[in-house]
Parts: sequence; structure tokens; C-alpha cells
Amino acid sequence: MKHLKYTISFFLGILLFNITSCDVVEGPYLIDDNTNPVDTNNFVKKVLIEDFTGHRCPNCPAAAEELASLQNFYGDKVIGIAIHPSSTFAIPDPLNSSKFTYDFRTEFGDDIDNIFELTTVGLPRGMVNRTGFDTEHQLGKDEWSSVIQTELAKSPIFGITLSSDVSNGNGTISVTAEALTNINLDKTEEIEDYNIVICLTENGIIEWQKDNTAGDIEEYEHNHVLRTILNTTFGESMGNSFVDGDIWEKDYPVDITTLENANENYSLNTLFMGNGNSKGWDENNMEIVVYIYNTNNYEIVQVEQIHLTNH
Amino acid sequence: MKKILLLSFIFISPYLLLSQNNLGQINGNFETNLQSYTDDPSIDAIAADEVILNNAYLNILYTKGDFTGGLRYESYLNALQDYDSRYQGNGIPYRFARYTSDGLDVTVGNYYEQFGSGLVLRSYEDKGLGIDNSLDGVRLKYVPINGLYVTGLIGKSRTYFEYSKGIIRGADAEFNINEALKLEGETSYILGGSFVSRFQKDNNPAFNLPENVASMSARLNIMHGGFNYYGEYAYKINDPVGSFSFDENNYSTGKAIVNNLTYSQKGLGITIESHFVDHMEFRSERAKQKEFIINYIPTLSKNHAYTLLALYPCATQPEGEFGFNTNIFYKIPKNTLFGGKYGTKLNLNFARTNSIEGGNSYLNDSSSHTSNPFKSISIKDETLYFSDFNLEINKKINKKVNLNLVLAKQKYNKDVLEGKTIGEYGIVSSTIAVADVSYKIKKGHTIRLELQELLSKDDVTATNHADGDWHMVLAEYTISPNWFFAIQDMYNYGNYDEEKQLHYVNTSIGFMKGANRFEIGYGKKRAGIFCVGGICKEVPSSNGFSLNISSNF
Repeated sequence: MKHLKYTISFFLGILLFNITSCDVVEGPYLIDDNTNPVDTNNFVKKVLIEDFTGHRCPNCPAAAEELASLQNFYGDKVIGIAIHPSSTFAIPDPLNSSKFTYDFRTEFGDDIDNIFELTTVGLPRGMVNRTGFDTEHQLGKDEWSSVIQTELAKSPIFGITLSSDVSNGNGTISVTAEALTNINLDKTEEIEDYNIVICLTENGIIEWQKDNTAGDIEEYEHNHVLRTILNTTFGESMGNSFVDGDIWEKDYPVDITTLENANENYSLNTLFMGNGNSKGWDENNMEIVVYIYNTNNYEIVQVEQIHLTNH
Repeated sequence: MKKILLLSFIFISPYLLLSQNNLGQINGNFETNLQSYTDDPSIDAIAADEVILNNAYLNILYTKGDFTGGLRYESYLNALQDYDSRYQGNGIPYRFARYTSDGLDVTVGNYYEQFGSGLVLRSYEDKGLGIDNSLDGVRLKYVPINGLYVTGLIGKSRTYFEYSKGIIRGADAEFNINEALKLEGETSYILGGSFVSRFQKDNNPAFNLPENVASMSARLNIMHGGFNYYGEYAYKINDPVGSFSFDENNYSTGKAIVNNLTYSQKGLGITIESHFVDHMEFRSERAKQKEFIINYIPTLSKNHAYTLLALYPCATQPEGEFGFNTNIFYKIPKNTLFGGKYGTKLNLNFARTNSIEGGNSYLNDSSSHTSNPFKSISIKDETLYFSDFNLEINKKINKKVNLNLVLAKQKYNKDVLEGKTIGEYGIVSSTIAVADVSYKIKKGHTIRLELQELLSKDDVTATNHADGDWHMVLAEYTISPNWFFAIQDMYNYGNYDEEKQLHYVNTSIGFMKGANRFEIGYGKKRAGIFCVGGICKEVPSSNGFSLNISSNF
């Protein structure tokens, strides 16, 4: 009988442990729709999400939706680039097929995937400011938000200002980066080099997309699609030593037709099953995305975005 | 002189043994799997940049009295193509120390543990699947009174070479009533209860997320004569994935009900297993990724060893399924009409899983649905996930010839089980026949021949075609105990795409001697799904040589 008592008290103990150590959350579950105070500082820390996706990846629309929800919440502090790397999910069908004939792939996206190897762990995956390289940077969509919180809490060390006079396919993009603190001034070793990368992305591309619940969607809106990088995939050096207030400036000429042709050429001549169907860029839907990263660990320290046209 | 030697030997030998005991014992095993990869556009196989890839492991276990210590060195240079690329480099991701003292069993470091049937916790490793979710932390086991087995643990779960963010706390108690009360009846009862909780900080400003998520279960095992009943009920509190997308965070509770009944007597065995599962995947982190899974829901289907029978394997859908599996073994006695001289073994198996009523339970601010386990029993309205009806006949013809025949009809919902778009492949129906004959030529020399055929029917409503019909032939020659030679050809002659009507030929030679085993293989492997116990992984196609060496000491 004594044994039974022991047993009962043990089970009661477990039950008590249960009740005291779990958090049953009562609704409403959505507690803050978008009440982030507007930051009045000149420069605020922004975060880049690189969403690795593909039009044949049925789970990828959920990741695009996660990115959209994050942008809805954080406003312009969260900037997205959608990369369609060339293995499996982004391969287009031949031009005479009825679906999935568009080639979203770019040389730049493939180069990035070669370094960060997101396709090898399965899509959708993304990187948030490329943090955690090279063991913890390949994040599932549900992991993005927690890294964003950590990243946004950091103070910005650079501020980026962009302007553009591009219209009718031609013009110039001006990039100005300002050091917001002293960088590497007192260091003699482990000096960080910073590179700056100038990308063009496009929103509102209506093309086919596989979706695991809706099936094959004909008029899916593909956003933040990486179109090109103006100063090579890994950008150019800005130097490694900055005094607070130092300015780095450069202008980049843009000719949309030349850039489109380069992409078409890559699709036709380099890619597996490339069909050259990668044109039709609409400059009015395009964005300039510029980021600065630390070349020691690839971590992106600041990012900025503006529309390509209408300034 | 001889006497003195003998005497001294008799006196010294116990000390020799003892001193060996004092030093303890070391044993272990080693394994290396090397594979070369070449381009083969016909099967979409891609050469590895490294040309060869290699996975290797060395386990070392040290035992001395009540103390055990161990470690495993793992080397992925680089990981084989069917492995996750996050297994990369070398390391000692598994090490532990364990001792038992006055009934208290203490483990620190890495450990594997399963509570009940695994519904709330199963930490295990399976190299074939590339799974290792060992917990790293502290585990205690204690038997406070006769028949009561208590386990408590705290740890973090391994994901590749890292540990996931969540902290796992768990307790399990198993109470063997017959042992405790010293009952000696024909019926024995075992009760059990488990509780597992995960802590992960909530840093999502948009949604209110639970930081401590608990999963618990109660189980009962009754044995009476040839009958054995096992039942378990598991429950998980709200466990949203922590997304920012409104529709992705499901605040519903999860549940699982398992009922298994077995009857066995000489020459007859009957097993009926069933389960109902709803939103019951439990992970070491909120994010819905397979590397974080720390529980296990057994799959309700027969584990087939023959290749074509396992071409379309069942995988449990932890977010919602109802299924059952019945197995009948019968041995027709010797010296009867159908039994013949040696008797005939029959195994009839029927397994089926389908969706649950209205889909899995769902709860957020704007919508909710709670599944009803009782409604799921009416299976006719639900989406079929998998069914397998098969009969296996094993007959020893004479001293030299053994025959094994299998006939099966399977239905496989490729869209659901492989995560395809709904409507893409639909339900693939197949009829499979296997004949396996082994013939003992002379002492130590055996030849075995397998003939397999799979006839497949695509879903008429689907947009894509599955692989179609297959032949397979395998010939194996064994010279025991040292050698074996095997060659097999899988031929996808019925593929809808004529360019894919290919032969997949594989050859292998094995040599075993003492504690060492060597195997060399060459061939083409098709892309497919590889499963162990219902946990599956996708395997890419490959073409190349392989070398496997294993040994133990």
C-alpha cells in the first residue's frame, strides 16, 4: 500500500510540474499589428532578407508571404531580395510549354548560392543579413523573425543615401555611404574590410508559381526578384578605416537593355535548360538595393533601398 | 619446477584478471563510406566537385565497473550527396559519461532517450537517414521502489554540428504493477506517464508566443496469456511556429492516440495497430523544420525489404492522419497437404492511412477547427494517403531450396507523402510481385535469385505521370563465411518518358573476415525516397563507385 502512495504522489508531482511549467496562450494571439514607432534618426539600422526561392518550389510562396508580413510589420527597415538559384526549382520549361517558361535565374544569384549553399539544404531558405556564416546562416522562414529582432537592435555603423535619375532605360544611380562611427581606427589586427554591392530588383512580375495548396498558380506576383548586380556579385571595397562622418561616394550608369541582354546571354549560353526568356524588365517596378558587408564574415551591416525611377 | 610454475600461475591469474578489470575495458567500432560521383545526364546525376565524398565514424566506449564513458568521432569530408550538407567537417559531436551508484543512474553529455512509443520524445540516431538528434545535458534514472522506473532529463537537441535553441526538459515514470505489488497473476499491467517541455524565448513582437511548450502522454500495457495490449494518449499544448504571417501560426493543441493489440501462439500471430494523430509534431525549436523534430510517430505499414515493394513507402503525417495496420502470421503445420515436409509460413498484411476529418486542428484569431478522433474512423470520405495489401508465402521446398513469394497491391498518395502540389501526381496504384529463390549448391555456397515486377497505374486526374512499370532482377552468390557477390538490375521499362526507360545496374562484392567487413560497389542509383520505420529522406540519383569498410574491436 505504501508503494501505491508513493506512486500516486509521484504522479501528482508530475501533474503539478505540468501545470506550473507550460504557457497556454489565450487569444488574441496577434498582439501588435504594426505599432513600431517611426524612427526619426537620419539613419536607422536596416535588415536584408535574401529569400532563396523558385517557381517550381511548392513551399516557397509561404516564405514570400513571411517576408511580406515582416515588411508589413517593420516597414522599410526590412528589405528583401528574392534569389532564384539555378538548381532544380528555378529551371524553366522550354518556350513551347504552357507553364513555367520564364527564366528568373541570374549569374549573380548563382554565385551567391555557390558561396552560401542554400539550395543544398532545400528551399525555401533565407539569410538574414548573412549572419551566422558558415554554420547557422541557412535559415528556414520561421527562423527569420528572431534574427531580425537581434539585428535591428544593433546600432548602424554606416548610413546609405541613394538617388537615381533613371528614365526610359537610362540614367545614373548615385550612392553615398557615411560612416556613423569610427571604424577600425585603433585596431592593428583583425581589421574589417567593407564591400558595397549595388543590386537591381523587380517587383510585380506576374508568372507561374507552384503552391502546395493552390496548385499551379498562373498569375502569381513575384516580388523582389534579383535582376542584376551593377558592381559584381561581391561588390567593391570601400576600404577598412573610417572616421565618424567619412563619406564614400560613387555613381553608376545604368542601361537597362544592356543589363537585360547580359541576363539573356547567361540563360542561353551558360545555364542548364536556359531558354533566354528572362527579359521584359519594367523599370517602373524596379528597386535599387545597396548593401555594405564585412568581408571577414560576410555579415551585412547596412542596407538601403529606393525606387529606380520617378525621382 | 613445473609445479611451482603451475602454482604461481594459479595464484597470479586472478590478479591478472583483476588488474585488467581495474583498467577497465575499451571497445568500439569504425565505419567508413566512400562514394565517387560522376555526371550522368540520363538520370540527372551530378558529379561532385570533390569527385569523391566520404562519411566516417568511430565509436569508442570505455567501461569500468559501474562507469561508462564514450565518444564518437564523425568525419564528413565532404558529406555524401544524400546527406544534408550541414554535416560537414570533422568533430566529436557525441561524448558522454555515465555511472550507476546505489540504483541511481547518472548520464552527463550526449544521450539517446525514448519515452513510451516516442510520441512525446524520441532522441535517436539513424545513419542511413542522416538523423542524429541526441540530447546534450543531464539525465537521471532511478528506481525508488520495486517496479517504478523514473527518468528525468534536461538538454539541448543536436542539429548537425550545432544544438538547437530550445531547452528540453522531460520526465518519465513507468510503473510495473506486478513487480511493485509482487503479483503473480496471469495478467500483468504496466502504467506509464511522460512529460516533456521546451523553453524558447519569445522575441516575436507581433504575436504572443508560448515560451514553455509542453507535451505529455499516458500509456497502458496489459499482457494476458498470448494477448498484449498497448495504448498511449499524447497531448501537446499550443505550439505556433513563431512566424509573422497570420495564417502560419497555429495555436491549436495537438493529440495522438495509439492502440495496438497483439495475439500470439505457436504458429499464429495477429497484430492490429492503429493510430490517430493531429498536429503532433514536436520540435526542439518552434520553426517547422525536420532537423528539429524530437518525437516519433510509428508508421503503420509493413517494412518491406524487397526494393520494388519499398519503392513507394509510407511516411507518417504527424500533422494529421488516421491509420491501421493488421498483420497475420500463420504457419501451416508440417506434414499436411499445404504444409509439406517443412511447413509453410504465411504472412497477410493490410495497412491503410488517410486524412483526418476536416484536416488537422487549427486555431488562430480568425478561425478554428478541432478534429474529432471518432469521426475519423469513418474512412470512406477521407483522402487516402497510403494502402498496402500483401501476402507473403515462405516455403522451404527441400534441404537445398527455399522459396519466398510476395504479392502486393499498394496505393500511394505521392502528392501528400512527398510534399508535391496537390493534383500533380495524385494516387499511384501499383501491383507488385516478388519471387525469391535461394539454392544451396554445396556446403557454404548459396545462390539467391530475386525477380520483381511492379505494374503501376497513374491517377487519371493527375497532371503528371509517375515512373510507371519496373522489372528487377537480383542475383547473389554467397560463399560463407567470407565472400558475397551481387548484381542487380532495375529496369524502368514502363516510364512514360521514353528517355527515362533506363536500366539501373548495381554490382557489389563483399569480403568479411573476423571483425572486418569490406564492400565495393558500382552502379547507378535512382533518385527516390528512402525510409526507415516510416521516417524518410529524399535521395538524389547518383552514378559511381562505393567503398564501405566497417570493423569493431
